[in-house]
Amino acid sequence: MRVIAAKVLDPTHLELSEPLALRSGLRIAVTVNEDESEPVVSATGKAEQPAPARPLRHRQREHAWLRTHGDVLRAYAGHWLVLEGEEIIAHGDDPAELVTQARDRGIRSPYVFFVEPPQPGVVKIGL
Amino acid sequence: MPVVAYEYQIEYAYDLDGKRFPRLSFQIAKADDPAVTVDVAAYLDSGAERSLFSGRIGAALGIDVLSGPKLVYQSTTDSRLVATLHTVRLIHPDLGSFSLEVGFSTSAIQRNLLGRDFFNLVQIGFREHYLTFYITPTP
Repeated sequence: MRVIAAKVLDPTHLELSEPLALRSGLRIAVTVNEDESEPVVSATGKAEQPAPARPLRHRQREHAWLRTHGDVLRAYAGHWLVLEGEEIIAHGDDPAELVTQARDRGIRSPYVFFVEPPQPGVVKIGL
Repeated sequence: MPVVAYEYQIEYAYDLDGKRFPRLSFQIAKADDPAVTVDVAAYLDSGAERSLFSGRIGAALGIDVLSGPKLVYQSTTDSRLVATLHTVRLIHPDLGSFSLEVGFSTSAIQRNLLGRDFFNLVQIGFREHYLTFYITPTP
């Protein structure tokens, strides 16, 4: 149900969620929208649609590579890996050593992770 | 009804079994040396009371993971591991920088976990059906 009410208000007593220039003695219409599925309308009359969420870009290239190169990754299962873009920089058992190797190649913040071996039939929980 | 608007979204990552999990990549640094970072990935774990990282990651940052206050992490099977607590800085180019006291495991673990202590710093929403999570850098 939509209820529309109108009253002359003193703009100095009108609190709005966003700035709105008002003339003195202006007639204000307030719409009470009881249907929550309808978009909220702002004081400027524009529907307040939330901005669409943007994709996080950090390490996007590496994520894409990991998504499409499972066959390559399998060879490193059980090892630590440093990946930069689409290049495997270093791999081995000691991530501290791999990070040092990567920094020696000029990578300021090496992306290092453990390649979990595939475990078919195993359900993972956090710990 | 509360309505939350999220700024960012990311699809769940794949593991080698082809299964998908909510995982976030970011930089981690010692609190007193934020210029020296490594990039890591951690699973989002709303069941974890506190975040947990591999001690080997701590060592890569130059943290002495055998020193510091000890904390026991308990799994649902009652198996336990000991971690030491260290304050680190988690840095993300889009989300910002967060100071957090996290555990570094003193025994080998395969996954880093971001727990409720991290969830306390941001807003996170899961759409499991779409294998996507949403995040915005304000609590």
